[in-house]
Amino acid sequence: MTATQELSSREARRGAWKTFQQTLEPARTVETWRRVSFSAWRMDALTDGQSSSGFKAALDPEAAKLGVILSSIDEAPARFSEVIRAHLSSWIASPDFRKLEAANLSQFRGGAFLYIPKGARLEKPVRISFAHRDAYEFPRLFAVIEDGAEASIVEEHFQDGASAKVSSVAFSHVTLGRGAKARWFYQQTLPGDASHFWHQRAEVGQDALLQHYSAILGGSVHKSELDVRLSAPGARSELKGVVFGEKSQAFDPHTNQDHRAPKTSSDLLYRTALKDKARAIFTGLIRVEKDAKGTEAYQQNNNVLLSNAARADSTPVLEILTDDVRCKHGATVGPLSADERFYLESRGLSPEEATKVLLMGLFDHVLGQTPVPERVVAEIERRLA
Amino acid sequence: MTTKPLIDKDDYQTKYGFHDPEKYLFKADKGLTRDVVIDISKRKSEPQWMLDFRLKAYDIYLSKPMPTWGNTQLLNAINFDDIYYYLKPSKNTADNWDQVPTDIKNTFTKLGIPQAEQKFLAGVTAQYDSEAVYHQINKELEKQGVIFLDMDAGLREFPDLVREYFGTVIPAMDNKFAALNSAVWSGGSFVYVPKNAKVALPLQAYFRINAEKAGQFERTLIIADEGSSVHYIEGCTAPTWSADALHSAVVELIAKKSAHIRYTTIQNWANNVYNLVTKRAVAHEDAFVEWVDGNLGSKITMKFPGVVLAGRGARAEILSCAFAGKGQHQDTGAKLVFAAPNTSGTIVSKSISKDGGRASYRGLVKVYPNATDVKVNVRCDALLLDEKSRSDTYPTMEINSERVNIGHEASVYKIGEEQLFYLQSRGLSESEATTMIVNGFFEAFTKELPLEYAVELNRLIQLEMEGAVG
Amino acid sequence: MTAAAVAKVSDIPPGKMRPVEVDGLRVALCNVDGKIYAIEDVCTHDDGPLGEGQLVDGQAECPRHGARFDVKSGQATRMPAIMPVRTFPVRVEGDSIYVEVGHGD
Repeated sequence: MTATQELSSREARRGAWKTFQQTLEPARTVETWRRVSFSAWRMDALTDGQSSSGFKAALDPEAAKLGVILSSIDEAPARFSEVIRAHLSSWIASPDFRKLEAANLSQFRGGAFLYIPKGARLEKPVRISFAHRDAYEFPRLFAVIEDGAEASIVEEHFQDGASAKVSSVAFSHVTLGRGAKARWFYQQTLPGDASHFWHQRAEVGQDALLQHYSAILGGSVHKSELDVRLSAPGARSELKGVVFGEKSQAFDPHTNQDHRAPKTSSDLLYRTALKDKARAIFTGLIRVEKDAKGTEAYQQNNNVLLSNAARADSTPVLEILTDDVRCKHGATVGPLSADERFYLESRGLSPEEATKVLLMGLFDHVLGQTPVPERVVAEIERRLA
Repeated sequence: MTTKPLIDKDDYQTKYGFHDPEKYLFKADKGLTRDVVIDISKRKSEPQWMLDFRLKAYDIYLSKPMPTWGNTQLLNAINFDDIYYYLKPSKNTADNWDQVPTDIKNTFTKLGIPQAEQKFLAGVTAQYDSEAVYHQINKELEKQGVIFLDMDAGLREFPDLVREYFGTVIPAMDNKFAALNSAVWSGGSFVYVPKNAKVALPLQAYFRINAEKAGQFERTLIIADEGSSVHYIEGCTAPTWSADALHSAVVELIAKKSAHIRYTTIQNWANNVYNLVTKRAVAHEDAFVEWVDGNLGSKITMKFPGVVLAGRGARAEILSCAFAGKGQHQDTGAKLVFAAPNTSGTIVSKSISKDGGRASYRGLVKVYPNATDVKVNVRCDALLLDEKSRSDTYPTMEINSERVNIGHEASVYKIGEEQLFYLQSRGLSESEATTMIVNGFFEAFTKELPLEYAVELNRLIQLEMEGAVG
Repeated sequence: MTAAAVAKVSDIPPGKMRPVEVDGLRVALCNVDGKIYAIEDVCTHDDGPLGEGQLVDGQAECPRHGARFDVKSGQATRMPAIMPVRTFPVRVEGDSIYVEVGHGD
């Protein structure tokens, strides 16, 4: 790390630690914290300088030849000092999450910095693994994908041999330059007693395309915020997600399709399946600002309840401030298709096997796309055994 | 007879010749105090239990904070101290035939009372009096044992019946404005329909006498006993001026086993009115409740009619239509709560925003675990007529039962250029074409209205589209 | 089966309620004419904190919207609640209150 980087990093962290200490815990009455209580991330025992595991990644040599950089935020090459300083000195998320972001900013170790230069077309996916080991983990990721670049990135969160319960608070910032194309896979398979908070802000540039896939399976409590800003003309995003809960898990994923420029489009499809006493609350916002004429935005959330004690809540929201748009959203809750089940069972599959086939079909829009399906598929199969 | 276009505040006073507030028989001091509440109750000679109810509600009203959701900017602009909480008008009837809304006038004809108009035109009576109509309706109802009175009279004449149901669907603690209404309510309707009685003609609030027709804090309670059916209509399409800036009504409906209640509202308050209403129905076994809710006027309306499906086989339909013009916010929606098996419900919401108006839909579909075999469909369509206008949709689903079929769909769009082009190429002006499309958009709603209202509503929309605003 | 004392009778005056936590579950203890009852401290209408409300004629009243529940049977006695609230067996020994919340369903 260069001297300037070290200094700005230390300053940012010190300021963030103070903010963490001074910021009050958000009350249950705050809209974003109504559904899942903040108490899961209380962090009373957190002290300054506590360790956090960082990430594991191996950069494909082909990618390195193209000029791709994958390093820790603190160890990024000197020419990125300014960009990293700017990243560390501004808040990624809204004030409702300030306390958590302050904890992350002051305590993250390493953090992942990914840089994909102009026009670079990566054949193999870049795999960034956050292996959670300690009681408090603060994954942090900053990715810059320059104009015309094309890449697939897999961001994994899982536990690696920890004995204690993990409290995980992750913040991520991704930018796509003009005409860039990125496929981003966020895969969360933490154990059933973890608390995981994940916030990603993605800025999609002019004519760029972000295809985002989420597989959300772990934790006793999961709260996430995917904030996609289509801030230049022609920016496009597809958001696909899978949530699968068992036992008493609770999931609170929130997505933002934030249209700020003309002729932008977004299309979201999130599917949830819940068994036992699991609970999921999906909230998705499509917001189209005054200047975002010619926007097309769609959102669909389908929920399958596999037991009567499971509960699915869905609140798709539209806030439209201009007339030249096409916006639609839909949400359904119901059982797996009875017709399809009948078909499979009449061909000799047991009810459990039929359920598995139907669910895997339901989840295929994500599972069938990820280059690294192993952990996710293994976890789903374990739950359906 | 000309239909008056929607016009602004000052013109109302002169053209409609409404009485000045000074001509009211009684006017309490501005602002709300415990003494004002006690005074209201004493003037109505209410039983002690109602006074207790009002006072408890007053305490609750004071203790509840203002809502932190919705259009808080507008809500927090209400000056509660600058409002009269009890005004008994001298005689809230029109002074000349021109002032009677057309849809109401047509009702006279339908009821076979054209003589009122004839008498009037012949100069026999200088006054239109709804008393004639009221008595005509009531003769039929008496035969069936149906009670249709204003709420004050209902409490006086049927205290036990009222006490059994009053506040059971919407308790004072429900929200700040329900508490306010519970403390200072006056007027509204009390309807009781006995077992198996089917009321053929719609009961229209306009024809209640001896109560403020344009009441600020109306309280309505409708009880449809087993197997009965009734259709109640409140409001009218004519723009309605009100000296009162704040209207906070509470409507409670109880549909017992196999009963059917349809409650139609057409609201066209002038643009100075804050219209904050709590409406809820309980549908028991095999009962069917319909809310048909049209919102055209007011500065801001916050109203989310709800049905709790409490008995097996109960059904609900909520049909909401909102027109948000310049300076207006129609914050409307629907709530369905399923607490019994084999129940179903549909919500259809249609809204149009024009000239910077804002239309919001807020909905709730909640299904408890014991509510199996539930089918729900929600459909929200929002049409934006220009780039200044705004539409929001905030639907929530909370589903805790697996044997259900819940679907929700919402679309926001503008009038298609192809559609407009097609109609214009057939000789319609842009404004005519737009009006036709808008009428088509609202058709799902207007076809549920009695003909007199539907015709007037279409005419009103046409005027809105022609820009006949102030 | 829980066997730890969760509160003292002397902490809960007659006609009052106190919220406590038993095995991670929110429970409201209610003193109706000297007898102690236990209900889940979550209003079935909209998850409000029943234990922070008033006890009215043997009914727990939710402070959020006024829903009421009979504390003996758990039945909803006033809207906007319609579904009953869970009740738990209570054992009183001397001044100590024991509540059985059970495990699983």
